[in-house]
Amino acid sequence: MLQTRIIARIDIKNEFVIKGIHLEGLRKVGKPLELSNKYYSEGVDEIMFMDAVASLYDRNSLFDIIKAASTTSFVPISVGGGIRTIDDAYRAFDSGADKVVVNTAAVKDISIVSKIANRFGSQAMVASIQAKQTNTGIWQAYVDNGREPTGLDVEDWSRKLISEGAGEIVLTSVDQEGTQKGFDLKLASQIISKAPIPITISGGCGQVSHIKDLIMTSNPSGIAIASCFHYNRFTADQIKSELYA
Amino acid sequence: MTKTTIGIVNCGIGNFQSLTNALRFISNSTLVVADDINQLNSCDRLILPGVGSFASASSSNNLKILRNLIKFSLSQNRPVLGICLGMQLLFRSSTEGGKNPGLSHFHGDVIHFAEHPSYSPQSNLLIPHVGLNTVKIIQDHRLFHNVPDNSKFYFTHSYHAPSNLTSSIAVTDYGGCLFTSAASSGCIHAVQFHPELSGKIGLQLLTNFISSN
Repeated sequence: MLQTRIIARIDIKNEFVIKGIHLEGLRKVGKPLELSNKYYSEGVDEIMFMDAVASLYDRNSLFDIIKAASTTSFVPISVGGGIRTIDDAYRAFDSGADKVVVNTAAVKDISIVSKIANRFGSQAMVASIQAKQTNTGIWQAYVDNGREPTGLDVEDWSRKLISEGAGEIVLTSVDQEGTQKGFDLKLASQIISKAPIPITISGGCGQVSHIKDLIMTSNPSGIAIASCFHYNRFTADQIKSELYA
Repeated sequence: MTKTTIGIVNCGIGNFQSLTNALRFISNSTLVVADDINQLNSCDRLILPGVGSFASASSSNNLKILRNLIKFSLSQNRPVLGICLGMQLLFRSSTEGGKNPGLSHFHGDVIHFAEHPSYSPQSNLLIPHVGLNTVKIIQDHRLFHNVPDNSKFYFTHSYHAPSNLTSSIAVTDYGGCLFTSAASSGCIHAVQFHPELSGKIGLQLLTNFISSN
């Protein structure tokens, strides 16, 4: 049986780890390497670095962080935020990343997904979807930290990304993100029940019972956690001992 | 004691960063990433990594090089570790990208999960098999020294070796499909999972390989 991966999500702005609510109101919570090393030693199964500002001018320091993290943390490392070209992806892998995470670039031109998948394998091509519920109850895909609507329906969009060769999807609920009030269980089960690829659910974790609820209702391949790790609510090892004791 | 050298066979595919980082972390061995037979045959240990497709990795030229390396390793009793695709190449054949021959060091043929006798299209089994799964040790082996039975390792693959082989030292169950997740025969060992991406338990397995003789 596959065990749900516990993924530390580390959002970076310049040289700091930042955290907001609904992806906004960003606050500095630490240094990327110190936190990734800590989370690795506390048992996370994977580490996801996301450049929150996707700033091209600061690309080199992001890749330096990946390079350093990959020499001390021996779990899959993914990197996203501003991966726009095959060349960006190549540099990420060359720095020691195992997967790249793509959102905005795929919305602009979906062919980036198949290009990365064909060149580096589907297992290395993770699509990110930022989902926000509209007042009619459907979920729409957003870019730019949940600020820009794309007009794309999340379920249709995930299907397109999969058929282009995305090997995994990270699905973030913008509505729940940073609130610590629990995951969007409906969104998660709606997408997971129809997707033939692994889905990681992100946004809303506040306590271990939220993780239990999510595993019970939709058994995702991965669960991304940011606030609870940053604010020392619990560690990955503690989650696992509660879930699998 | 002389410092060991570990050769990493570069078949022109895949990303060795994670593997070389892990090896550097656990030992002070010299790492040689090469595709040259002479260079690789001067190493004390070999690793066949592999991310990529069987068809491209098993081109006739690659197979020739790999055959030579395995033959030499067996004659010198030099430890070899195949990882993921590097494991699959050690079997007789794979159905990935048509039916392609492998190195035939291990008996058995590598197949897709959808070709597994226990696979049911109704099971909604996600393929590739990506994530942490249980590795059940079925034969005592030094590769698993200090690795508890049923430890979780990181997998990412769509093809696998069958489970009922004399070379199987560990098996894994993915949605009812049982397959060989580690195999060994003589000085040639292989794992389907990625020890370099499996945290501390993975580093333990790599340490065992490096310190084996």
